[in-house]
Amino acid sequence: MNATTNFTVKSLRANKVRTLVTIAGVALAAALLTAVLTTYASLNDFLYRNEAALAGTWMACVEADDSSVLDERITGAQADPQVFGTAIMRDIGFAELTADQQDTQGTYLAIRSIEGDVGDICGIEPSEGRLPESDREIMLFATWNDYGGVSLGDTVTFNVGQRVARLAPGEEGSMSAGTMSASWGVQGEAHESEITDGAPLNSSMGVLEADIDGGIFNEEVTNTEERTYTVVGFYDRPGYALSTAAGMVGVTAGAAAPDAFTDVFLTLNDVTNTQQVEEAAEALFPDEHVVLHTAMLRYMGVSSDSSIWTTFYGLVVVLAAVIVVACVSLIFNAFNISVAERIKQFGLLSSVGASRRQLRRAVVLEGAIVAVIGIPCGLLIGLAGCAVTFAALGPALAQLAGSVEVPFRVAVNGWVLLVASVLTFVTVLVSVWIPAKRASRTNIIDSLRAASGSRVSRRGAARAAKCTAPSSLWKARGAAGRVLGVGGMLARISRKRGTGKGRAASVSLALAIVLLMTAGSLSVFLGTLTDVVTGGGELAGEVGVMAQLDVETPQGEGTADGDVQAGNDGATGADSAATQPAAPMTPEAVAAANNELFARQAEVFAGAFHDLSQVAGAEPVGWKMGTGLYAMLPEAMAGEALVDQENGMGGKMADGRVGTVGSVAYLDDAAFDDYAKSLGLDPADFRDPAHLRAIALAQGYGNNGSVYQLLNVLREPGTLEALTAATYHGEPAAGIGVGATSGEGNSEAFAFQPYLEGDDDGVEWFPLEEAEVQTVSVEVVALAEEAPAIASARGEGLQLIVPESVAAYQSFGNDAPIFYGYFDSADGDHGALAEELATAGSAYFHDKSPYGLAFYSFNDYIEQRDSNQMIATVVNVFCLLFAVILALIAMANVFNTVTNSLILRRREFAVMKSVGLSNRQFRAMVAEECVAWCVRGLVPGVLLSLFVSFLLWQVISGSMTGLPFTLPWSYVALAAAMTVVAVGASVAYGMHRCRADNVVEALHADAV
Amino acid sequence: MDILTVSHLTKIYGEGEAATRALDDVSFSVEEGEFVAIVGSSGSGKSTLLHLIGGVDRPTSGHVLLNGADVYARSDEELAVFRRREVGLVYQFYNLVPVLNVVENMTLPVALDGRTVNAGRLQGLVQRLGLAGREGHLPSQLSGGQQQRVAIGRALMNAPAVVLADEPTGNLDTRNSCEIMQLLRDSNREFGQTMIVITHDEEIALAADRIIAVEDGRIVRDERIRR
Repeated sequence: MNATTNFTVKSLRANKVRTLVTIAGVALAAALLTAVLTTYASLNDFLYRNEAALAGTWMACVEADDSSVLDERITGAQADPQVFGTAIMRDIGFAELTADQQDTQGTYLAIRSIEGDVGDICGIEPSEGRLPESDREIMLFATWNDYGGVSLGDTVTFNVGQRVARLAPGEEGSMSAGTMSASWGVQGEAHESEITDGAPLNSSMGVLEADIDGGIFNEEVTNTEERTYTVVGFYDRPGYALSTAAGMVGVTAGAAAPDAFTDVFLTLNDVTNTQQVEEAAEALFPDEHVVLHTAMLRYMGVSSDSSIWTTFYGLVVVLAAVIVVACVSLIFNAFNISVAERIKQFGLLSSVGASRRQLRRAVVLEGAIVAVIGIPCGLLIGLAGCAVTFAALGPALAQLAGSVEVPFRVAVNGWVLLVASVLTFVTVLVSVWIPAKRASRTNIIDSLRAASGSRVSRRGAARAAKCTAPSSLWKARGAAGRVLGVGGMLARISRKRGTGKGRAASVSLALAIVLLMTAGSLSVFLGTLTDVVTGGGELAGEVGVMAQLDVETPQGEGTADGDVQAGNDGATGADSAATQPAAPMTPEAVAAANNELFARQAEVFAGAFHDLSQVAGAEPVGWKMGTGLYAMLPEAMAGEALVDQENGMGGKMADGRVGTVGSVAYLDDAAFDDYAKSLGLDPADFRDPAHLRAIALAQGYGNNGSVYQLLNVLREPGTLEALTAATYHGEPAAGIGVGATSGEGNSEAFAFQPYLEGDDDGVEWFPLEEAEVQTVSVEVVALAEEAPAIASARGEGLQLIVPESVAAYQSFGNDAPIFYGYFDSADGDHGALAEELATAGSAYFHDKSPYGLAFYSFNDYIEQRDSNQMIATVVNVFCLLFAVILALIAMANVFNTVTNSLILRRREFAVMKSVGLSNRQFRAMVAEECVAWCVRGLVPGVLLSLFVSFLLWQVISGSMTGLPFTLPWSYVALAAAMTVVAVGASVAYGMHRCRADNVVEALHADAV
Repeated sequence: MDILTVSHLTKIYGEGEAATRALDDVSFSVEEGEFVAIVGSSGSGKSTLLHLIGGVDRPTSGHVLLNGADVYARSDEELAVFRRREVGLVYQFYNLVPVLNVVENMTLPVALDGRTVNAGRLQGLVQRLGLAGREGHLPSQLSGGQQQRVAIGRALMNAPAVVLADEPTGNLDTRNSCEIMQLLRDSNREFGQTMIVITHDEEIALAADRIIAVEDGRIVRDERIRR
């Protein structure tokens, strides 16, 4: 051990408290960086494994039509060193399904053979049984087991053939068919192929049905032959590879026809971006269509393009920056003080021949020793923290990411540890550099004399020069002097004349506030984000039941009047084909019939709620009915959510008004009255049949796929028109659709389009202008910010709220409302209550309702809420941990600076004491300094916090616009409280140190 | 008349085996207006003695009576008041408050006592100490001799019962040493200021009325100089 090292180690030992605090600071810095980076890496790893489990690890999929050279190219690809693995799926044929089977299994069973490592590469994993090994074995989607009565070991026989396009009657020509599904986290250019009469259709092409898709082709299956398979397995995760545009895949093995449509799935070595993947795939398979597995590539770090990912990455960067700044400040302060305290020692060393380099090295070495001890501790703490957190919250995290099968675990990553170590080490070196330079520049004479002038600034000297008139000496100045007497005055003078060093305490305080506020903002913004993603809102009841009646199927006897003429089935889309009117009808008559039918159903539901409320253990909360609404409103009234057609909720119509499809909630009268009163409205106003009034929600969340938006639905109250019925030449419309009309000069106008039942299950559209329509005016008297608990949370579009009694005379054109009843359980057993309600509901609708039941279901909201709460817990715990660690760093920093600014001046204090400074005056002096530190730390701290909060808000707004910028006030209060506690604790320790120091010793401390 | 009486004063630092007896049963008294020099080798306990007289430290046992009142019968707060009013301390290393200028340092005890500064006395002292024109200077802007004069000014400002000086010239060159000693001597003669000065300087000691020699915490010699 050379002299420098020896000296360094000794000085570290001599200042145990500060050394430990500094090591703790370095360890915390490393721990935080490790935790943030590990969380990032673990999430990435989790998403990767999740995606791999769901869809496989393939990077690119080649959809090969050109069979002539395919085998050769596949062989070439398999031999290519850049190709890590391949899996191949070929079309064998399409099995025709019975009508019953089609209901649950799709139009066809697409039988495809597999080859290669389909488990890893395509994520094809049997949930039961095994993969097929021959062309006589098959693995089916689990629904075959659930609904189709097929079990493992059964043999199934299908008519398997080739799909062929057939021109629809009276049509001629050809068309191009695009195939692309964007929903699997894949991306490819539109793959278009020309379809002609008789052309074969492969599994990438959707089912052609001219009546439905508006095209010119239908299709049929030709060259069928009977094939029998033994069922050897089932799968329950279809992923990308097992669901085709034509139906779910039946997986088999063995050879396919030479010209079979083939998907080649590739994983590649050494690719760093999506373009490379695409180029490599295109080089191996020239002129073939390539689909990229973008989700996978993203998690592999090969691509980063989604906004949520950018948000995530941005968060990591902001957090890491905050941590580094916090730690630089902490460590810098610690070393700066350490050097200042020992400036005389450095002078002494210098006087006995230590070179500048040696002095600098002593300080840098000190930093290095602290880092070498602190960093490994920090890495361990960070990993352990992550392990504990993930162990506790792993299931919830997995659920948050939409998976329960893939566990969320700590991904210990070499580069994470390396980056955290290097970043922390650099932080330490940066922090130590300036103090080290200061130490090396020590002037021998000055430092040995301990020139007291170093504490006074030039401006301070100028100020001092002015205070010489005996009459003005010690005149109480400032609030400090007046309240705290001579002690306060001394502190004030010290602050006004001192160099900036005292400001270190204020800076660390400011930083403490910034750190806590950062954690707070993170908590608030993430909380809002979670709230939106999980639906948020209050729970209406523990259990909810839902029902809709089937008015065309009268139940029991004596209910002949149940068969009411119904023309417009509005939003419910119920099939009313069976009720063709015998005679021409006016829209008024249609609307009246709907209203009557609606009113009767409302009575049935009121009875249902009454009966269900009698179920043992049920505590009724309330009920409502929900229906659709075709609304036309003045442009001034509509918010951007409705006006902007891209949101898909409505748009400007040709006549200048805004059209939208919204909803109406009929709240049971008690719930409505409470709600209206809570908004300061008179419930009685809403019960006038001659003047319909409603409350509407002002805002709604929308999601266009990547960005959550909080949008204005309505701007102001006003009166809107609701379309309640339409007839075309006396025939009631079967329903009303939405589309763009080619209005004159305004080809993109939003329009409602009623339609009639056509022949052969088709529909016949007719323009609204040619129809006779009935409308009703509704006055929206108030816009509410929050929906009542019993109405669902903010929807996406226009939502009107009216009392249930309105159902007696107004249906807004609907004939089939959906009933929602909410109940709490008296004994907390919501699961049992849900079962009871299901039974009682079925019995009621069977025995007491004049109509059949379209559906009846129940929801255990507690269960859903628990899972939502788990997600909120994850977010909160994350934020809390972050806040706690940052608070610790901040406290350590404040402690270091405050105690040291006191300890460094202990000789000064001793002098004052020796000339008669009493303890009370000493306390007053320190108190004044504390207040000054706090005030001077608070103001810049709050300003900086605003800036960091704003940055975080910006980052999060990247995936959610319309998020209001709010300050986390509870954290502001916490920061202020923490400031006081930290300063208090530090001052207590500092004063203790100063007092413990014998005045006599302190006075002599000057002697080297 | 005795202004100061020290009786059976003992000070032990540390405990058990590590205990050091810095002062061991020291007794003596000083008359008003006396100039006492305390001599002794390094570590003999003379500085401890001075601090105990000045109310800076507390003795392990024994009493210090100043103006007939027991110094250590006072509480800490009272002791602080005692230091402001009854004693003036001068140290080898001046021990001025770095952020206060010359007059502020000199009047600090007055300010701590909450009294108004006697402008005439301050002016007189500044003139007497040769600090005229330097009233607004900070300690860092002064030479060692000047700093020590400020320290003496601070000690004299309150006209204390006794001025205690701990090697006041130990850090100064010969010329400055002479000047400082002259100042102390003058204030002793002119104002009848009682002085107790620790010194290594034989010449200074010989200028005193009385020399007390301390070794190993005990008084080994106490002689009055006859002039």
